[in-house]
Amino acid sequence: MLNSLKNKNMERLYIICVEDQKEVLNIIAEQLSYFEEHVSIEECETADEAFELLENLDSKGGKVAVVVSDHVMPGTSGVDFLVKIRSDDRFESVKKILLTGQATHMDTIAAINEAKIDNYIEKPWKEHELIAKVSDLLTQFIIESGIDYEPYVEVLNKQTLFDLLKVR
Amino acid sequence: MAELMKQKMALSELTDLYWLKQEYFSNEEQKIILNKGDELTKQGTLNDKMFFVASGRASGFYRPEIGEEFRVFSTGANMIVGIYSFFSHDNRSYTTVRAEEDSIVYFIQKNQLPDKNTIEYHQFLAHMLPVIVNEIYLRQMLMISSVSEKENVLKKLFESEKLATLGQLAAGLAHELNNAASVIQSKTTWITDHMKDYMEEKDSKGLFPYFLKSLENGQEQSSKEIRSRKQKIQELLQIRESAAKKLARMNLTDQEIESIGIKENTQIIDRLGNYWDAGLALHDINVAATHTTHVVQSIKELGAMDRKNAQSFNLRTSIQKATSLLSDVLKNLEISIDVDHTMTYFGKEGEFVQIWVNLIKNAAESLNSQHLAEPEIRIAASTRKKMLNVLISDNGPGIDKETREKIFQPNYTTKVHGLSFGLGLGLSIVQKIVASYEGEIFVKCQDGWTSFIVELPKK
Repeated sequence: MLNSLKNKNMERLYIICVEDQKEVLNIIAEQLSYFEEHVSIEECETADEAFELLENLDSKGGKVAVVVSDHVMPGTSGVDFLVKIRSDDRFESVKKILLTGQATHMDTIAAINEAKIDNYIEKPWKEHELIAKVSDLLTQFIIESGIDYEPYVEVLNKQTLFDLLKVR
Repeated sequence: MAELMKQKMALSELTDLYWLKQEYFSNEEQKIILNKGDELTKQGTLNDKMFFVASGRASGFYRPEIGEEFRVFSTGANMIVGIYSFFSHDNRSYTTVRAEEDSIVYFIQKNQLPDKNTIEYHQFLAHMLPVIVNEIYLRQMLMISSVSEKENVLKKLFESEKLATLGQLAAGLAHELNNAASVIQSKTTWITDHMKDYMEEKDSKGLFPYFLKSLENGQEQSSKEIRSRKQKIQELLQIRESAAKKLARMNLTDQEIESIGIKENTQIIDRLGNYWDAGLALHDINVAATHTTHVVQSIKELGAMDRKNAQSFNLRTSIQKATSLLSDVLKNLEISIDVDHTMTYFGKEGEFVQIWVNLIKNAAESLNSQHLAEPEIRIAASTRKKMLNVLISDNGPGIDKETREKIFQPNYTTKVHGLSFGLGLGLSIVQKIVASYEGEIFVKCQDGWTSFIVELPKK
């Protein structure tokens, strides 16, 4: 009930994770539940499902702040998916993290040059590392989008927040 | 070499060989009839003759100080041999020229040449020059081709050594990891059994079945299904999103959801969630441990391939060994082995068990990926002429043409779902082993059956 009260002044924000192996997807979602009280965590098993969800949430006025995607997946690969987000005007401001242990040199180059990913996390990763990076990017997203940061301050990166506010 | 021959012929046409033949190589007294194998010149010995091959074929062989003799050039009809020794300073043959078939040659001797300052001599030289140039050109080409051949051989050797090192590395790694993987695997089983007892004992609210459910089945629903279920539950119970998600993941019936709503107990959702999460965690650990063990084992098998000696073994027994190794994946399938008890084959039994394991496992996995009414694997062996055929068939979904073409390439895998993905090595290993017995492997899709046929020569 606490959440619904807060929600009155809060934008509806989302973090989407994409990973084809359920067992691994569960781990990512479990670790990101750190943000759950402030931001909705959505899980997807394919890139296509995630893109559909992005469009769906967007049409309802929801804002996707961060996407965490695996790379090697059946169907659309993680890099292709992130490139697709990047080249869509609606999702220009979405922060993107590539989470993978199998990307080749070429994949990584494409991810940086074409998808303009904001961060790259190598498998296996540490929980605090993932949370720290997502928190940092969430903070950037909130400030850049002009959203009131106060309701979220608990899960934001204080240093990033301070730096960004100083510039303004 | 064929290419060089063609060029030599082309050049011979340009030079007026006919003239040379008429003027210098037509004296019947200077005609030699060679039987196959006869020698015309001997490497390192004096030779003051030049030969014109009128018919047949003669080749030059060079014997290095160390190693085997090898062919340097080959000369057919209307070509000249012995040019080098004829014009060189020391008059020694650098090859042994031997007739490769019955041949007729004409020769001239050095002392038969016209005097140096005569027109005849210049005429002779003018006709000889293109032949000599051609000869030099040919030797040059031969050099280049042998150098590049050597390069290629060295490169291949280097690559195969690299592969061998990689194989040793992999085997060493597998050996080291094997113990660790076994410990994780068996202790996971142990802790799962004990947790089961413990949870059942502690449970007073009837939550144990939810632990058991996720332990046995894992997360059954897709992320999409969970999302839509979550929305429904949220509307129904008016609870927090995170709590609704927890319930959604548990795949509960509407009735169960409603009974939670009636109790209006938020604590129960958390407790229920804990039971379910604990079961799921153990399930996932089990899946991961099993996968680790499989990967380590297949790498180990790769390394161990050459250790056992070849001997005669019972075919049926080797197939049964394979099916018993695979009992886990075969438990829901009908399997028939139509192989005569007396059939034997000569080879390393371990390698054959590995072939059967890979092929049967593929069949089983393709069957298990579908919900078929009567999944079945049939294994049959027969001898035909001097061949032994082993057929492994399944009534699964089959393999499309495109995949069939790529199926034996290393690193090709169709198993990308969940944690059950393969190494993409299975079929390429099978093919390698089969090839080492001079056998062949085919894949066929017919009348709803997908068959892998291993064809081996009977020795």
